[in-house]
Order: sequence, then C-alpha cells, then structure tokens
Amino acid sequence: MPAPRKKRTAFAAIGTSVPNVDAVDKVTGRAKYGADHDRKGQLYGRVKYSEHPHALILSIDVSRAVNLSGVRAVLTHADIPGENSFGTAVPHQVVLCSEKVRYLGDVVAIVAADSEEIAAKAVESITVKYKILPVVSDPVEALSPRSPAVHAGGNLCVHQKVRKGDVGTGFSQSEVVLEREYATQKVEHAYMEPEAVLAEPGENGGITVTGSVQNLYSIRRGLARVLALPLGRVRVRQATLGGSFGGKDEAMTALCCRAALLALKTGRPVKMVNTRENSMRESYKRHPYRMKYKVGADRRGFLKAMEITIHADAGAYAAMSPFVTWRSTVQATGPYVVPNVRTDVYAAYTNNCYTSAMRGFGSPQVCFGSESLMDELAEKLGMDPLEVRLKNTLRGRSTTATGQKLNHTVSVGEALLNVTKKGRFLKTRASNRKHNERSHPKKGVGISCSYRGVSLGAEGVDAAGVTVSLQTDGSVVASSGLVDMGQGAATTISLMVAEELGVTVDRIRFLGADTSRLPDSGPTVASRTSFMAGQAARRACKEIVERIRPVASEVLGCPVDSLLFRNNWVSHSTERTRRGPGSRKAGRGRAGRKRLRLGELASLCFARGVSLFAHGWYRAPATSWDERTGQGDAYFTFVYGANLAEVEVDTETGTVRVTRFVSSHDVGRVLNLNGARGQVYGGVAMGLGYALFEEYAEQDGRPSLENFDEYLLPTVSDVPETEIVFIENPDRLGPYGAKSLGEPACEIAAPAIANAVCDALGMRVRELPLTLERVRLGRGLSRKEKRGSAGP
Amino acid sequence: MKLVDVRFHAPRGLEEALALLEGLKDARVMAGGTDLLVDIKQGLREVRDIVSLHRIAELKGIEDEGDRLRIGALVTVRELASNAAVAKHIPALADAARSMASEQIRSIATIGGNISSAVPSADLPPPLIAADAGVELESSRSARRMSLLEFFTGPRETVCLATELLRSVVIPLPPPNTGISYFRFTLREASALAVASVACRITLKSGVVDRATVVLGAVAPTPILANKASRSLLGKNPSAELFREAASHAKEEAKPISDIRGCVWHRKELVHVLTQRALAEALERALGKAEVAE
Ligand SMILES: Cc1cc2nc3c(=O)[nH]c(=O)nc-3n(C[C@H](O)[C@H](O)[C@H](O)COP(=O)(O)OP(=O)(O)OC[C@H]3O[C@@H](n4cnc5c(N)ncnc54)[C@H](O)[C@@H]3O)c2cc1C
Repeated sequence: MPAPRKKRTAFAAIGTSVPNVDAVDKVTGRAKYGADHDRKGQLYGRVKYSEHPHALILSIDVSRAVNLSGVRAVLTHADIPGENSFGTAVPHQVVLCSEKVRYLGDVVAIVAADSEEIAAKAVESITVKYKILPVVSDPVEALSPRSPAVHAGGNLCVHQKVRKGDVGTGFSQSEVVLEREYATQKVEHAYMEPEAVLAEPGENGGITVTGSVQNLYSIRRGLARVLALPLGRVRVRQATLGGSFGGKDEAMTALCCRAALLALKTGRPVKMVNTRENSMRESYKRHPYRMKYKVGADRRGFLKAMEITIHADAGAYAAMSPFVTWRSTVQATGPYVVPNVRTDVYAAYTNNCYTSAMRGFGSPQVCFGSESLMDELAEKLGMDPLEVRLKNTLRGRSTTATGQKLNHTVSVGEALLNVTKKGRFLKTRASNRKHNERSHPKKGVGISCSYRGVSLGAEGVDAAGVTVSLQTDGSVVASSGLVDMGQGAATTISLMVAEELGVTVDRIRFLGADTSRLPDSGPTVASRTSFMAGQAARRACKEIVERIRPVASEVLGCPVDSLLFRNNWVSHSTERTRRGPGSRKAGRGRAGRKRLRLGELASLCFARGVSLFAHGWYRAPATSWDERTGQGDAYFTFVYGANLAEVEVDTETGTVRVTRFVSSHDVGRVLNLNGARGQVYGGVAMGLGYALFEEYAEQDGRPSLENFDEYLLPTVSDVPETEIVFIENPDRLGPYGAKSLGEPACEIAAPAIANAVCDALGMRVRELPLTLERVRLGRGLSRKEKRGSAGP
Repeated sequence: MKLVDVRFHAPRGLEEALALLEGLKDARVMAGGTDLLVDIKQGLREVRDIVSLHRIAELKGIEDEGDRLRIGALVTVRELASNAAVAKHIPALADAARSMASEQIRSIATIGGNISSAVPSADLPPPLIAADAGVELESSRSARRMSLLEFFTGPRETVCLATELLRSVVIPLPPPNTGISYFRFTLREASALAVASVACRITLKSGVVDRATVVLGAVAPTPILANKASRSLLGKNPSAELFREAASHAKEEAKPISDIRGCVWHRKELVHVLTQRALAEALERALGKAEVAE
C-alpha cells in the first residue's frame, strides 16, 4: 500500500499548514458579518409569517400597520414589480404569498419601520383571514392520488432513477437476499450566524444587497426576476459569512428579495436580520429520507443486485431537491461494484419546512442506508463488515452504478484499510464481544466508507472564475466568484496564488465576492471550490507570470525558463527547472543582478505598460447523463473515504458516547493541512450530531422546537478526538492533484457511529437519530410533545 | 429583543434593595440573569423594573459556621463547584454544580437564582433537599426561614413574595457515616437540562440504614421526596437488591410528563436506573470510601 503521505518538495506553499487568512479578523471582531453592516437612515424590515401550514388566503388587512407612526412601508404580493417567485430548478418559491400558504415559514406581508420594535408591532397588527386546508405531512402519502395537492401540478417534485443491468437476473443469481428499510431525520444547518442582509437602493435605480449569502449569482437572478431589473443593476455583495453548510441560498434569496422590495419602495436602506427562531422556522433543512434497500449476494459475499426506492420530503418548495436527489441516485449503492442496479428516488411536496442543500447534498442519507445494509449483509453471510466491503469495493477500472468506468486511482479499499488498521478493527471487535458478555457499559466499533462525485457533475453548468491583480509593490489582490463561508476558501485560494506567483501568503489580500465585479461562477457548493476556483486562480496567475517573465529575464539576464519565483523574489535558478527546490545560489545576471524583488519586477512591468491583472476561467471536464436510463459519466472524478468509530453504550439509560474516531480520506492532494484537518474535525462533529442528537421534528407541519435549547447540537464535550489519515493520490484534473474534502468528511461519520452502536447493542437500529429510546428499545416512542412543560 | 422600556436598578446594599422591592410594583429581581433574561426574551415575563443584586455584598460568600454552611444567594455555581468547604462536607452539591450548564453560565449563574426560578429540572435543589437545607427569606418588614422542600409550590412557583429576597441557604453539616450523592441524566454531555435527576442521602448506624432520603428532580412539578423509596431502606442492610427495590418505589413515585426531552416511560426508567446508581454512591460515601473531590 502506498505511504499515506508523499514527499512534497516540489511545492513552496501547497501542503503547508497555515492558519486561515481571516482568522485574526474573526477572533478580534474586525470581520464584518451580515448583521454588522449598517447605513445612516436605515429602516428595519420584518415579516408577517403564515399562521397555518396549509391554507388559502382570503384577505390580508394591513390598514392598522400602515397607520402606526414610524412605519414606512407595508408590502404584500400586490406590490411586487416583477415575478412573485424564484427558484433554480422550479421557479415557484413565493416571495409574498397571494393565494395560498404552503408552510409556516411562508410570508404574507413585510414591513419597514424606523425601529425593530415598531416593525414588530406593525407585523402583529396585520390580520390575515385564511381558509384552512388539510395538511400534507407525509412524503409517501403525499404521492397518493387522494392526497391534497401542495402545488397545482401535484405533489411529485422529482423522480430520479438509475437502471443498470437487470435486477431480476441479479436476485435470481443471489444466494442471500436482504430487504431492509432505513430512515433519516430532518436536520438544520445550525450555522452560528442567522441570515442577515442590508439592501440599499442604488443611484441608477438598481439595488445593492450586502449580506450573509452563500450563492451570490442565484440570489442575484432571484432579485432581478422579482424586482424586474436587469442583472447589471442588481449587485450582491458577500459579507463575512458565519457559516452556511449549504444553507444560505434560497433562504437568503427570499430575505434579500423582501429587503430589496422595501428598500426600493421607501428609497432607504433596509436591514433585515433573522432571529434564531425565525431562521429555524423559515430556512430550509436537510431532506429526511425513507429508504427501501433490497440487496442480493452470492454465498462468497459478492454483490449481485441492489434495488433501492427512496422517498424524500421536499417540503413546501422544490429548491435544490431535484439536484440533491440526483446525487443520492448516483451514489445510493455505496462505493461498491454492483452489476445490476435499479434505483428510484422520489421527492414529494408536503407542508413541512422545505428542504434543499446541506453539507453532503443527498449523500448522508444514502450513506446511512448503504452502510447499514453492508453491515447487515455481513452478519447474514457470517462475515465481518470489513471483509464484505473489501470484496465489493470499487477499484481502478471498475464500473459504477451509472455505468461510469473509473480511470483514476480508486482508493476506497485503501481508506478502509487505513482506518481499520489504526483502529485495530477486528481485534477491537473481538475483545468488545468478550467485554459485552459480562460488563457494562457495552462497547462497539463500526466502519463506513463512501465514494463521492467531485463538484456538480452532470447536474449543472460547471465553471468558475478568479481574478488576480499583482500590485506594483509585489502584493496581490485576489477575488473569486466562489466564496469563503468559513470553510477556508480564502486561505486555500491564497495558497494557490502564493504557489504560482512565488509570493508569501501574508502578501495576498483575498476580497469578499461581489456579483458586479466577478463573473457568474455558479454556486459555492458540492465541495467544488478548491478544485474549480483553484484551477481558475492558477490560470490567472500563469497568465500574469507569462507576461512578466520576459521582463525579468531581461533584467536578470537569464533565459525565461530558468527563472524562479519564490518568497517574493524572482531569481535565476541554476537548476533549469522553474519548480526546482528553493535555490539560493542564483547566478549573477548580465545586468549585474542575481535576484529581483517581485515588487521591483512588478513596477518595471507597470512602467512598460504590461498588464498585471488577469482573470482565470476554468470549465470542468465533460460529464454525461441519460435521463431515460439513468446512466452516464455522472462526475468527472470521485473521492473516497472511510471512517471508524468506537462507542460505549449505557444500555440502562440509552446514552451513547463516542470514544474514538478515525477518518481517512483521499483528497488527491492536501492543500492546507490545517484547513484539511479542520474540515475533518468539523465534518465528524456534524455527523455525530446527525447520528445521535439532532432532529427538526414536525407534527402536522408545525415544528416541535424553535431554538437551540431544544434542537440539540453536539458540544465539544461530546466530540471525541479524531485521528486522521489523509491519502494523496493526485488527480489528473485537480489543482496540484487536489480533489475535495468538505462533504466527504461529513457524510460517513453517522453510519460509522450507527454501526458501532448496533455492534455494541447486538441489535440493529434503522432510524436516525439514535435517540435514547431507539437505543434502548430499538424504536422511537410516539408522544405528543409539549414545549417546555417539564422544564424551562 | 431589546430591553428599551425597562428601568434598571442596582442597589448597593440589602436594605436599599428591599426598600426598592417594597416600593416598586412588578419589579423583577435579577442575580446572574441566566434564567430571567431568557424568560423575558421568550415573552414569559413582562418587565418594567429590574432590581439587580450584583452589588449587594451581604448576599455573597460561603460561611462555615461550625455546625452548618451558610451560602449567600449570590454565590455562583462556579464557586460552589470549587469551594473547599462544600467539597469537604457536601460533595454532592459540588457534583451538581459542576454538572450544570457550561463554564460561561456557571460563572454568573447563582444558587439563589437556581432555587428561586423553581424550574423542575434545576440541579441544585435535589442535593440540597437531600442535605436537609433550609432557606432564609427577608423583606424590609420581616425575615423567615423554612426547609427548602417547603419553598417550592409548583413549576416556577415558590412561597417567595415579590417584596422578599432569598438571602441565604443554610445546610447543616451531615452527621458521621452519612453519604449524599447526585445523579442526573441529560441528552448530551454539557449545556443540557436534566431529563431526570436523583439525589440520595444515606446515614448508617452499625451497618444498617438509619436515615435515608431519596429526592427526585425533573419528574414532577417540583423536586419531590420519594417517601416510599426512602422508608423502604430504613433499618436494612444496604445491598444491590435493597437499592433495586427502593428504585422501583421511586419509579412509582415519579410523576413525570412527556416533553421534547423525554417521555413518561423513559423518565420513569431513568429514575429507576439513577436511584440505584445514586444510592450506591451515597453508600460508598457513607462508608467513607469515596475520596472527596478537590
Ligand atoms: C445555556 C444555559 C444552560 C443552563 N443549564 C442549566 C443546568 O444545567 N442546570 C440548571 O439547573 N440550570 C441551568 N440553567 C438555568 C440557570 O442558569 C440556572 O438556574 C441559574 O442558577 C439561575 O441563576 P441566575 O443567578 O442566573 O438567576 P436569574 O436569572 O438572575 O434569576 C432567576 C429567577 O430567580 C429570581 N431570583 C434570583 N435571585 C433571587 C433572590 N436572591 N431572591 C429572590 N429571587 C431571586 C429572579 O427574579 C428570577 O425569577 C441554564 C441556563 C442557560 C442559559
């Protein structure tokens, strides 16, 4: 097996470990988040929420609100200049409801006032009359012809499918067939910063919004559509983001549109900041899935067929559901060679809070399904979980469920061996068995693995741009259409710029994104930023270097191909490679100089009229997809990973403690070790919450909780130390060979923990989260939840 | 939320505070504010005047008075968790304090606030009741004292009048061969409220249980005594069997409700488990085996 860490002498910046470039600003309070932006004379916006999950609007009376002193505008659907809806896949998400409300986070009217208190009073004084409709709350029942319709076209949001081979034949060749049902819950992103925006009317009749936005360009499209403005007059600027995890897209489009409507109406800046309660009520969540898996294998444990049917709850609007479920469809089998596959994923509209992108994007659910299934299959075959996985994992030249031949290094087996070696999987398993016979608490160990398509794949246009501007003192300003939302993109992109231009990271200033200054680079999602923006940044840098090299070669009197750019200096490398290891003893040039500060070179170039600015554009390699057969080269490349968890289960109370965690991911190339580790630590913590605590519970379209006192996130005391083994199989396509990590790091933590818990219990729990009752009883207890009646 | 319309008073002494409370109608007392401000934000309380206690020296400090500890109402949870006298005499109270909330909250939350807010899941009352603690109330006209058990009348309800302050908590030092313990169950490790909690006290005399108290928290409108469970221990030789029997009584005596943190079934199961664990630890402490923390 290749060594997990390869020598990296070829790079100056790549692969080092640097703190995030914005870390000091963040911890000293200098960073300006969405809510930190204020303007003189600004008004405060508030929304009037729907009072029912499903109802027809009979009348909206705003007269009392309008007459309150300090109220500057009260708007309803009648005041919208453009379309009253937006949406990337289906443009039906309503900004201000006119005929119907579809969930409790729908908004009927908006108010701008001199203060938050007045705005709040005004909202309370708005009266809306409704005709209540029956609530659609179950995604499976929603698809029955008898179900009331949430949208005019019926409740089917999307049906995605994969067809490979013939599952009938596959099952008939199988000696073992298992049918199992798994379910995952709805969860909230729980970013630290609730949504915030400041909308300012522009001098040109346009609008500028500054706020906590993740995907600037989709939000700008929504704004232009709703305000009936050309894209060129809508400017979206990103404030420092206090976390997003996929969550600040449609929820922010809605908020931005409402603030912008109020700003244009009043001619004044309007600020809108969600409370946590509003954010929990209105902002979209991760889809809950109900999954039926049928798997067939021969006696030796080789998979023959898988048939998978999944129902996803899309909630009130489509949002990203078609794309999220598409990824689930592609990855539903897990990272295994399965000759015959039939997968159907249905997303259904209901009157629950809508669901859309969240870290993993349709993978955490199917990872839980397929990885639970593999453990159950192993047990049925009398094998251990590692053996059955290793037999079936994808390898180089394997064909995926969608018929894609993998022509890169496939390392899922390597990742599995890494974590099981480090965690001494089989030994621990055996010794736990002995321990559990007589001792308490019970111990368990579990593993999981996955493959994941990098970037958007065949689900969308995949290209991104970065601008780089070398200054005459050798410092650099860079900005990217893909944004930093706390994941460290600013740092990673800066590192790549540093590598290409031979500058140190402290000389680079990375600017927040701005739609009017950067090209539409698509959304910052799908773990695509390091890859896509990285390649774009490299192109921009290369272009600048090409332009300034002739000048350097003239000054230093050496051939262009022997110039070395490093540490803010340009020198004549004695070795004739530009990328040779840092050579100090550069030869003396004709002009008597042996080296030159990059700043001097930039000044010289500037004086000669050489452009020091470049825009790099990178388009992803081709992918393909046949809707009819559900076959194609879904993604241009894939990443692989495996996790191992050890747990202790107090079977008397149901408490689960995760005592050890090992995570191994093939990232192609580690760009910033510090950042890469951060992604894994955070991903594991998030996956742990998904496994054990978090659930955005709803009953008949009404949430059972509204804040973090009841929506339990793990704290530092619940999260074990994570041991990390990075695998670096450089990818042919990625920048320096890098692929992606943000989502893979999160998607398989929960199944590893669940498998460990089931190992400890000697009993399978097929539903997340593994609440105490499920751990003790194997099922949840139904109960009427009363908010805070036993405690505060 | 903004407290724009609220008047904030910060009296410099007990007398001034009590006079203020006498004069103002509907004033709310604030100690650490960790409960009060949440209540105000959630709209559970309308507030016009806040009387903050933070400057009142008379309410601070832990006094070892020889046969009892006197704990001022303003003593923070953090102080309880790290005080030597508390650790020596009532380690269960230090355990409870340490288990609460988070470092930040513990540093400002007070014992007076924890008791006065009378939330059923509060952590300090069960071990205090197990230790026979009493409370001292004072108004500008009178002073009274009572057992802590009598102080609570319902969820978020106490005998404390709007003109009164909880001044101090008084705990008699436990007699020899006495062990007190506190166990609680939460949905995650830190910063979580008890789903169920049990405090136990055992005093041994020549090897048999001479006195026993089982207090249950978060499973009734107020902390309650599990009388049957306590009585079932008296005069018996402590054993796992005996504790299991007592735990079964406690489970019967618990009157929990279902809410988002747990259902009736689970809470009762928890009482059963926690009572056994708490009794075992109380016994260990009574036998003097347990090392006193810090
Ligand atoms: C994040 C978080 C986690 C928490 N975790 C826990 C936990 O694990 N366990 C737990 O038990 N509690 C917990 N709490 C609740 C709270 O912190 C405690 O109950 C705390 O001890 C209250 O003390 P305080 O000084 O902040 O009270 P305050 O909020 O100041 O007051 C609480 C109430 O008591 C009244 N009051 C205060 N002092 C007096 C006095 N001397 N005389 C008369 N009335 C008075 C006030 O008027 C108010 O009604 C938590 C709270 C938060 C915000």
